[in-house]
Amino acid sequence: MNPGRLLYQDKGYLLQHLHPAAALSWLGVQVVLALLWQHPLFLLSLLLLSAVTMVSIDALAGWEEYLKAGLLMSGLIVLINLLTVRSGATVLWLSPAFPVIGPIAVSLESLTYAAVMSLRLLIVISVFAAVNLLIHPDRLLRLFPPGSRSGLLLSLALRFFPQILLQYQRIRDAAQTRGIAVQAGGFRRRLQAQSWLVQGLLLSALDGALDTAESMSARGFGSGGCSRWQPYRWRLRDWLCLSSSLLALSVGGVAEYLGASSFAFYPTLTPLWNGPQTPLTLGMITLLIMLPLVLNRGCRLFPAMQSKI
Amino acid sequence: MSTISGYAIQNLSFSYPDRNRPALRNINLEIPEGEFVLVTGGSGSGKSTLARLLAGLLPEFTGGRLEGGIAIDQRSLFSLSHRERVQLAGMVFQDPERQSVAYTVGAEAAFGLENLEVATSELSRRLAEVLDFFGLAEAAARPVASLSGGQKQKLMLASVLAMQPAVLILDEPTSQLDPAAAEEVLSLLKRLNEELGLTVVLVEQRLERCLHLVDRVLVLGAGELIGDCPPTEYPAWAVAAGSPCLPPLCRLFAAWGDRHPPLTIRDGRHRLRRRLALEPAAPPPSAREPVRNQHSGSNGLHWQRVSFAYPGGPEVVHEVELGIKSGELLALLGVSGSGKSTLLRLGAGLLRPQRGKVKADGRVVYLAQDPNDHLLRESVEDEIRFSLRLPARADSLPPPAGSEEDQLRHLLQQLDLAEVRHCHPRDLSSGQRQRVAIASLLAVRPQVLLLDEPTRGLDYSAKEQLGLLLQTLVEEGVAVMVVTHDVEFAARFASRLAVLSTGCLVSQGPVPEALEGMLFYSTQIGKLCRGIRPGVHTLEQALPLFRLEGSDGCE
Repeated sequence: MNPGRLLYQDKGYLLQHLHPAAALSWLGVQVVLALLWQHPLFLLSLLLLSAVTMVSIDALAGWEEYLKAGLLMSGLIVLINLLTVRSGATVLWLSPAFPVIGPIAVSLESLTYAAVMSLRLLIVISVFAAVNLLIHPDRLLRLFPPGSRSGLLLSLALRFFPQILLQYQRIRDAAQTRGIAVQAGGFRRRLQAQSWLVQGLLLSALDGALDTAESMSARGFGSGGCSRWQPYRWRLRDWLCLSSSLLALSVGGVAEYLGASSFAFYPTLTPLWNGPQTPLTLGMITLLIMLPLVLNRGCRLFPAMQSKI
Repeated sequence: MSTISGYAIQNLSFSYPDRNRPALRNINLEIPEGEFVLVTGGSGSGKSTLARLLAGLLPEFTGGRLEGGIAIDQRSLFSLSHRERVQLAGMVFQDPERQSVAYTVGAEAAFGLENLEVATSELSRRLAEVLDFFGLAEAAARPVASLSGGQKQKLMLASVLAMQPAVLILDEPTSQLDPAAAEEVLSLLKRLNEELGLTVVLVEQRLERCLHLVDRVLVLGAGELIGDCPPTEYPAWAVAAGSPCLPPLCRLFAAWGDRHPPLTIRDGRHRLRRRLALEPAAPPPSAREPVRNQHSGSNGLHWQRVSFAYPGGPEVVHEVELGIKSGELLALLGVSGSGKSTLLRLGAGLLRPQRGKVKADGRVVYLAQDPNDHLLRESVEDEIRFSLRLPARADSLPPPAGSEEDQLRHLLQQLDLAEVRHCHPRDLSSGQRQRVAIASLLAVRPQVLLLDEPTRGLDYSAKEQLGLLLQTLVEEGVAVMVVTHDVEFAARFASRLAVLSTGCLVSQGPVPEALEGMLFYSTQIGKLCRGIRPGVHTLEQALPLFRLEGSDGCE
């Protein structure tokens, strides 16, 4: 795994040069809508939006790494749901009775519910991936008040994450050449080998952290009040991104209130189509929330546009 | 920029917490404004401690016991607030990777100014100024990670200088850089000193790079100030004091009886020509016989037309055909990014070539650039014992006679670690840590030892000790390959040299032949004698050219 793929790499896309508040509002609206909606089509549209975003910033490989972890958790959600949920009228499979828990009934409704929950999780993970791949860490830090320790901690954590992974790879290589079987043998043996490597990694990380702290102190960190270098202006693109996101959120809320995006799982699945308002609101929200992607594409086609907006 | 009347240090002693021996003892010193001072000495002599005390980082950062005082601008340094101290004395450390806190170049350079609460308009002005001066303005929006090592260190300098300190203190700022980047950083320091009148205190061990740049040399030994002289007097002082910290050029002329040895190659060549005009030189010396053992040529490692590219990247190693045999020490030279480390990792089996193959006759072990990557246990003894207890492999050398205890004792003695056998490896000096890492690798009885930049950050004594150890291993039949920027080390200890450029092997052969005709991959002595005494590359070869002139100059 290349740790660099998991984090921001400036490729010059407009999406990567939004004001962090604008970018966060756009991504935040996606999370709110993902938590608000249960409708599979609406949620699928959000996942599709994430996919298009990743293609737009040439970060599919990085997204893939995040999704691997998400898919594992999704699998667990489906499994736990199937084992524990007894509701649902359309039984697809009934197991023999087990001691204590009795028979397991897999219904279409519980299966759909688990799939929708997994979808929701994948959207949240995709948005988290987008925060890392889309927002410049230094710009993110500038959302915090000057001298904020939490902000600096966040920035350092983001900066050091790939470094720690690289360091782990180096320690693992050194152990391998010495003859420590890192990936061979039984579970217990591998666990023991990993514990040696982690111990080495922690000590090296601690050494590094002390050096960094010393350098920060030598540059006056913690010596009193702070000012803020703010090279990032709030631009037209940020207004467009913020307004379209807020509008999408409002339409999404109204759609949910009016039942256009409502969906029930039990006792039987309700229809996906709640009349013409369902495609209408879905289309409106999709268009609104895709505006930053459209601007990004426009800037690729007409590079002069990027400096104008 | 602040102006000060300089440093006045009186009876300064400092001990770290839980250490019996003081790191610095009774230092008395004055550093006037605008002086470029070099602080040198062996590992553990107290150089870094002095630098940190001058910057006001100690004892606040680590604790410890302080006696005596440091006055800056006629005020006690320790009575100043943190902010006042950093405004007077800025400090740059060894490893640029570990100093960086921001993602982009601009934010990194602005970090100190933000902490000093400099108003935004002035901050932008100062930032633009320093980034322009260091040639980093174009890179302001680029990630720090995309810069080369030299550029990163320049960025750290820019970040500190933007704070406009009166004194710039640098703790071995070039130890992690390749020679070209190191030269660039040191030249910048000279410019800052000359153009801005900035007081510079430079802690450095590789004197060949900087002796000619400074106004004054301070030498520390076991925490005491044992030498204080102008750079022209330093070689004579070092010879008289028996100090190993002396560049080969100075050592050669001092040995020829020169009272004030040259500090630059240019000056050295003038003097050599003058000397040759006055006095006939001895016949050209024969090349040193490479260290080989009786098993020479039996086992080893062979890269057979090997090519390699990292995923999604260009080819970094291209069709390399290279071999090392037991009983020889091969040094691989090349600039940063030429593919040296990748080639070594391919040899160690840590990477698989896309084309060609790597054939190993026997067990191959690899020493990473950072010896800390090898240190996993709580004591030196544990670290070696741990390797001794690892399951034997068929490609290892047969186990020697004797118990585990005998083998442990032998390794501790061979690597000069017996005295520190119970210490935590990470509490040791960089040279000692490296020897622990080597011991942990030798304990698995390899036939091939690959070392990546083993001389980085080592002082002259530690380098010499490492070289002699590698020669002993070669004599015992181990095939050794060293990737290095250190041509002096390669010329002194290797039997064969190879040069890698942009992933291609451009030269290889026995040391004297390989060095012949090289302009940049050349030793100081080689540069001195180029075109004057061909075939002379090392101190050992150059010394017999002229007879020694008794006591002159060495007093």
